[in-house]
Amino acid sequence: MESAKGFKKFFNEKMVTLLVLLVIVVAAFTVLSKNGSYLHPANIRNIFSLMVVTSLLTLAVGCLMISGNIDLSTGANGTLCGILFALLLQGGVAWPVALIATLLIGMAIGAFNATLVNIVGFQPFIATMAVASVAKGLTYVANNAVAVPVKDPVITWIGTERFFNNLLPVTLIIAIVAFVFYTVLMGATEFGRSVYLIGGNREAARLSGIHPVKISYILFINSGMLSALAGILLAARLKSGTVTGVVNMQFSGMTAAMLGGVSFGGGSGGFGGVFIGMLIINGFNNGLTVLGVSSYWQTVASGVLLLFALTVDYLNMKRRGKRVSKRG
Amino acid sequence: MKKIISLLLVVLMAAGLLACGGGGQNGNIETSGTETQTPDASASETAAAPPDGGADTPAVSADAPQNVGYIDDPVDHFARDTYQIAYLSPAFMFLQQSWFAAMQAFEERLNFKVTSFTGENNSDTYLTNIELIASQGYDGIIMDCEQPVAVRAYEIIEETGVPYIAFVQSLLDENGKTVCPQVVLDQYDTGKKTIDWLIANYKSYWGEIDASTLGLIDCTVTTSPDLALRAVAPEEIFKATFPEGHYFMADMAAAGGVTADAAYTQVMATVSAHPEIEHWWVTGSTEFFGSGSARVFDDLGKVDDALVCVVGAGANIVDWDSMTPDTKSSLVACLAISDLLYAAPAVSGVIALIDGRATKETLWRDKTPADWQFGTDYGVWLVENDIITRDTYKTYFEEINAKYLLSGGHTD
Repeated sequence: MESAKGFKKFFNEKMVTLLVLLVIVVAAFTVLSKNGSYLHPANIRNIFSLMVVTSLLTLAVGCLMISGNIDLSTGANGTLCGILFALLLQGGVAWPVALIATLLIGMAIGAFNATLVNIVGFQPFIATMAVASVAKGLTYVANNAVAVPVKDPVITWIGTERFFNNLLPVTLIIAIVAFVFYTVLMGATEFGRSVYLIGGNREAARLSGIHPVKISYILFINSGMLSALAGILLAARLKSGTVTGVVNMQFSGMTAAMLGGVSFGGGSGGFGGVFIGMLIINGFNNGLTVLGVSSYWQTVASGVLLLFALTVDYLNMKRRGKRVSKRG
Repeated sequence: MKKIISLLLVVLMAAGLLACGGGGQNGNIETSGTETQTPDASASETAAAPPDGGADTPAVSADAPQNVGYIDDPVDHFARDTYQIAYLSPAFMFLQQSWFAAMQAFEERLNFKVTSFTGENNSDTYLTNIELIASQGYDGIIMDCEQPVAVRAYEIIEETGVPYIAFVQSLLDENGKTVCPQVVLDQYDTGKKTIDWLIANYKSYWGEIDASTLGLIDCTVTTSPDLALRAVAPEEIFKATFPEGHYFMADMAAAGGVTADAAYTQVMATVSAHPEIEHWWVTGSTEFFGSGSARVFDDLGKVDDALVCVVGAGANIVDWDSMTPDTKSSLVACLAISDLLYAAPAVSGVIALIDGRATKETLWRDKTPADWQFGTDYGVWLVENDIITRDTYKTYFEEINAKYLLSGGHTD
């Protein structure tokens, strides 16, 4: 009886739902693709490669969402930083200096967001959207909307080198390290617990001695830094700082966070689930591409996938809620 | 209720997956053809095939190798397996759909199957798709690549070994030189033709006018080097021809991009701000700017005071088709580039490369202009184009369709 309950509880877990969904996606596309070409090693690398830049934006916005905040400027911030980084390199600045300077610019934009939200009192949604517009305009101004080539050998090595028979890109290692770091930070440290507490009940967190404004500043600055890093990594991968940059990846990042269980309301979710969520989204989109499905239908299918995951998640939460109230 | 919704979503997803498995809109690599190329054949194997072919080398008629890579290439395309060709574009909007449909129109005649891939306006996705295409065993790629990622795209596609040509946009190296055969427009020349046409024809609409009452709005997209080139000649020629005239550049880069609405907003603002200008010309890098601009003069009741002539025809033809003979419009002409004229050399060229009957160094070398601005190391197929008007556009497209689709088809 106990083991049956444990089994049921296990399957009610969000992570298991995601893993089952991932297995279904992989199995379906493996069967549907010709000779199982979906699982071709080069294609698996493609799935992971596309996660690199998006994953940094997901971590950026995910931390803020857990705290009950949102940052809509990650894409524009990352794009601006990507082109500034390329310009600094083009201007002869040594790559470590350019890297640090660009990260500082990204962090400054994050701090500005935090000030607008915490000091001026703007809604995060409005404040970060306005900052995104400013950053987008500055991106065009920076080099008259013209892309800037990246030729620094170290940076291009980071962006394009692959290990293990061409299967493991350096950029993917960076993304995985970032994921592990933030999973530990949010799941096993006092700082992480504070973020969850603020997201769950800001006032209660404040009364228990946590400083929500300070944490908010840290998270916005962190978001700015990760956005800048995403822009830098994309510039390294493309060998070019472009005006489109990471803008179009911002909402993929938010979608992955939500699919992985991070709630818009704050206080819940973890990056293990987010990682699986990203795998599902990328694996699903890649599978549709492998099958030659029109990009329009891919968009529809991705939306249905997200709706499906959200519905399952909602039903699970509802069931758990009922169980708790019965016990009460 | 929620369980029902959940169930519905599951069914939708399952149906979607099954539909995908059924081939999707663009088809699967597993085609219905009886001589389908084995998908296992790796791209590098394809590329490594000797130039003289092998077992699958198509039979070539006695007068070969003339016209290799041309639509009237005398090779028997049915002496080999059906080639799987990928068309890779940065996005898949109106223009890309039109080009893709034009490529598909040649599938039965040239014995290939084309599938579209898009970067969805995401450079990272675009580059990853090159590797995806190679990993899925496609035989060749027709590649529409934006300049900012061209250098990296070139490196990646060279690594894959899949034969390819550049399409619509030149693929340039770090020094701005072409790196492969390409089917492109002479961008500067297209803009020149539109302003030349306006200069040659405006008197038939307005008679003699005072040049100081004339304004030119030159619609461009500075973020796209190719599209920006189309706006250069109108500026140069207008300023030289009408020094007293008023020149305005309308940049859509930060105003909504390549859309008719962006053009409407920008042109409306310019025209409204200059009531002293009595006559307006509009040139533009894309057809959408023609549609958007014409709407401005309709709305302002200035149809008779404006002449619009832009590069590109598709959207303008839709406008013209919707007009009755009595409808007045400032959209008087445009530079037409039939999609078939783009698609025919693209598919013929990449097939010649896959066959091994041409290499990227030899394909279309006779077509390359001696003074081509991006270098002459590789073949450059400049797509033919013509100015068409509301009176001539139907005849123009009928003639192109007859030439490319109704003659010389495979009759087996």
